[in-house]
Amino acid sequence: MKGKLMVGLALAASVWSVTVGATPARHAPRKAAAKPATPFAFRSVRVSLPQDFDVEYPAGAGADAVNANCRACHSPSMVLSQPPLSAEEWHKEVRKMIDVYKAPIAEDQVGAITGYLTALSALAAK
Amino acid sequence: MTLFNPTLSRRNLLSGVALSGLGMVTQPLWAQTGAQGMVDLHLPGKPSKRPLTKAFPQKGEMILQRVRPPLLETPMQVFDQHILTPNDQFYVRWHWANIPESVDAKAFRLTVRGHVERKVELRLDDLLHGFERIEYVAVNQCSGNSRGLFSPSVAGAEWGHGAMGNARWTGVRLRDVLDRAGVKAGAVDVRFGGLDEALVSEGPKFLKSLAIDHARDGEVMIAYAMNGEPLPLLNGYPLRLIVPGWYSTYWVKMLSDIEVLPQKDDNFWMAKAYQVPKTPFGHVPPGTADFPKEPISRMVPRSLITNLAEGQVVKAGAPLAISGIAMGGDCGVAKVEISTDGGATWQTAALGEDLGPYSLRRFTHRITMPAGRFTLACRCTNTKGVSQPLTMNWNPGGYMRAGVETLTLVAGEKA
Repeated sequence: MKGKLMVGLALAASVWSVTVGATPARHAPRKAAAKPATPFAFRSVRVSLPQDFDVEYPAGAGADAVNANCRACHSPSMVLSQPPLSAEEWHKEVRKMIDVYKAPIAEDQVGAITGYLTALSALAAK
Repeated sequence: MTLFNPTLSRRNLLSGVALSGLGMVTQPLWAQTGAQGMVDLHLPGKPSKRPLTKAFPQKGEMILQRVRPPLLETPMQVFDQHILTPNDQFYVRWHWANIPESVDAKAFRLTVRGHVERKVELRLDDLLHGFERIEYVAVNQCSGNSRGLFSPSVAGAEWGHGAMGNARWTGVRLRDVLDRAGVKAGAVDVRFGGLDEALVSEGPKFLKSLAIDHARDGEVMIAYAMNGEPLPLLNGYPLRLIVPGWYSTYWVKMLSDIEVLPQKDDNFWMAKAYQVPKTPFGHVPPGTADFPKEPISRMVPRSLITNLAEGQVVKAGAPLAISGIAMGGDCGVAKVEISTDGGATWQTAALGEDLGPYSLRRFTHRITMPAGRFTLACRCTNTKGVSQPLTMNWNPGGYMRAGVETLTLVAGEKA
């Protein structure tokens, strides 16, 4: 498992080798193009996408709840780049994650998560 | 056909989180990329700096908005250097992190099903050899491009102006593929899905639809090449839906499933997400929450200066070259104008090569300014006669930003 994570960060090289040979026709946006001079071929592709499960939210009251519940689906940067939001706005965001995107967050965690995010916003707004 | 094993992925995902708890992990990507420098997107009232990263496969230097699911922004200088955005610097946006990391070109099938005479499963080679090939240049722009510039701010991906790209797309007409399956009378919408899946099994899979007449207009394309090369995986390899003139939310990546529907699509991504006010430029007075809504659709004209940055000092009394990019939205660019006095007077800029109505178009101009601070603005008018509004448009979703953009520059003795 650790290996997989490391490989993910190491980024395997891609495997393109063939490109379309045709010179695109200028000024003819919707015209059907001629057959490519060099045959185009699809190649199977395999990549490793970078992961950042190791990145934690800044310390603060409720950070444990946020770290435990908010990192499975998205990076912390999504939250940390938001404008300062009110408690009501953060609550709406957390509810959206649960109700719309079906994030498996226990109801008794919602208060702690919203509280942490609101405090973060209050700090940022200063 | 399984190209991706969600169970395995979930296990890796959870182990990743568990590992971090034990501190047995490598340096955070966020920290790693920071070493390559930061870029200031000049976003008002919110964190404005982002790291640059070269950590993503098939991608060069990009602005890192989010590692998972990837949000990568194209730096503005790329638009200054290229009218066709290089594939390795073309922006990236995914909704769910459950993205296949491999695609088997031989095993891949594009399915056409639903309200059709016969279900069709097409191999990649079928698309290459069994259909007429078409090609055109088109801008792909995120619905939320420039959301970070919104004032008042709105929540969401806080992009600068680089959630867009311009490419030459090659592929086949969606109409021809639909005809292979035989659309039945009474078809209403055509729904598109890709290989990506919701991370949580109950979560809404990303699906988008076009009305049947739009889907059959002969322009909408299933693309297998981008600027003459296979698409980078993060831009949708092996197939991507191209909907010229429409926002990118409809340009479904890793397109693998086409379903013809005998009724209007009411899935979350069409009925609830990506809604804009039913007004020109999707504009409502800032702060408005209630208004008649509709799914986002056609793009509107935009223009951006690419060779100068906010706050830059330029030489007073000397010719200053201005260069930028414009798009008509759902048609061509008719005119781009420049103002140096905050929009009181306008001068017409020269337009570069016309690569087609859906392409970005270069504009250039030259001005000479006396010493002092000044506001530089550019305004595009499209071939339908629609001009960018002087008052910035706003809506609570942070979509369709397209008002006249300005730069504040200082002309001084030394540039």
